[in-house]
Amino acid sequence: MNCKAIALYTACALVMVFNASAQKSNSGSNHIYINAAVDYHINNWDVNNTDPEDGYGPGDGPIQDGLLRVKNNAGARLGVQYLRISKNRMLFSAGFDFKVVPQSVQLIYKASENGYAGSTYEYNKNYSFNNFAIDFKGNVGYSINIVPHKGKLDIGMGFIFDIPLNGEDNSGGEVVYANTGSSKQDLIMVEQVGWGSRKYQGNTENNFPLNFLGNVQIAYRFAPGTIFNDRGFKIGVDFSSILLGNYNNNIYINAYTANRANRFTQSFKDEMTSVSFVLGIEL
Amino acid sequence: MRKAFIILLLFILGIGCSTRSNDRKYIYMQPDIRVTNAYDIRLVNENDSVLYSNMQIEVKMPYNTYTVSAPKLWPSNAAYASHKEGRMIPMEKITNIKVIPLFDYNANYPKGKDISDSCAFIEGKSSNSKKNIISRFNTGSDDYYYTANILSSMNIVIKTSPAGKQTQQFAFVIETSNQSSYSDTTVVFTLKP
Repeated sequence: MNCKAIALYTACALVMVFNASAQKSNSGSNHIYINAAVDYHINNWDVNNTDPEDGYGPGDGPIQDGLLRVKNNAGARLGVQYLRISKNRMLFSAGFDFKVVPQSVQLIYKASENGYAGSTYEYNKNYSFNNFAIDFKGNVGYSINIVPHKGKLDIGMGFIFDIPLNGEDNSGGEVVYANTGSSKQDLIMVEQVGWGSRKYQGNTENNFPLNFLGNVQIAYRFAPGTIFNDRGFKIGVDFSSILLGNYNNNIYINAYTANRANRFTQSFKDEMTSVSFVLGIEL
Repeated sequence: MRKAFIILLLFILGIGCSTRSNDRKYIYMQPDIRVTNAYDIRLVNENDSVLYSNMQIEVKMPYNTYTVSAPKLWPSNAAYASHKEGRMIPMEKITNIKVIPLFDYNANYPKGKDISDSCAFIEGKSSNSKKNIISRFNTGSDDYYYTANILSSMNIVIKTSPAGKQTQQFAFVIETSNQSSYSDTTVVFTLKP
């Protein structure tokens, strides 16, 4: 965990939020929301075969069942958001969220499909990890007056600096041997795993765990008096996905066939794509 | 003044407790062996012939490497001067190597019998016993970037003569402490005494 950087970001965000709450502007409005969200993490595109079998080009090899299977997972987050609507209805927002992202990936290996014809050996494994992270967000957009003095639709685009707070790796890789039918043990694969703030290979000391995500927010804001008497309320949908960074979750499998010939490589690389259902209450 | 001294001391301790840089693990893959004629440095192809005195078995040992994540303890560990060198570490221990003639070699070594105790294993210009070359397989390197320290090729010279002109083929087998073994075979060729 990079305490200094997190403290710096948190201090900046808090100064911004409290400064905003103290402002009384004539040329727009300022709002502070406490947000809670359920995130649906979409992993459908996160597994791929990077190297097909020898002798085949990408896409023209025999169809492989694949070793890694992913599931979509639900997570949650809680945060603070400062929202400023300018006189001409431009919106600017900043804030931070603490989030929990559970991830799980399943490995299903059948020796008969991986170069050991006639073997009945199977190897199944479940990789899972709960990521804790802090997201610092910025957003720019437009606020549409849907029902005058009662409801507004905010549409914004922005960025997220995602800082993983925990992580785990398997020390550069675990070697998996199996008796695939002969009297000896065969090297069937090397598994490399890196979750959160740990890479699947080679964290260098100077690297700061950070991912940069793109973000789209659509929210409907209810004015005070519509749902709650004295405070505003909002309901919205967020979409975000990674743009840059390599501290996302990774699993990298090098599969070998008889006599340690390279077979193929398959990887899970979490693109951090998620759709969130957000509820916010104005302070 | 005392506070400054304590802070300085902590920083120095941070350097003193510096973590090691990334290590790399390596694991050997399928070997590639072939027979060469040492007289004219020529590859012996299928059904070629070679004199016993000129025969060498060339072994190439490819390996895959995996980088190990390094832990980070103190901010001062990031200082370059405080880094310890990364290492190359074997992922498994090689316990035995075998050189097996697949046709009768001489009276002491019928087909299928390991002949490696009668071989010299030449790495560069140095000739090694079987025990020494196994030790070399399991010796990594103290230098992360200098992979030349990892044994990746050698020549095998058989020190006992064949019984006569013969069709021959050799298998080279590597065994590990995990009861895993892997091998390669030469082409079939004619060996002349």
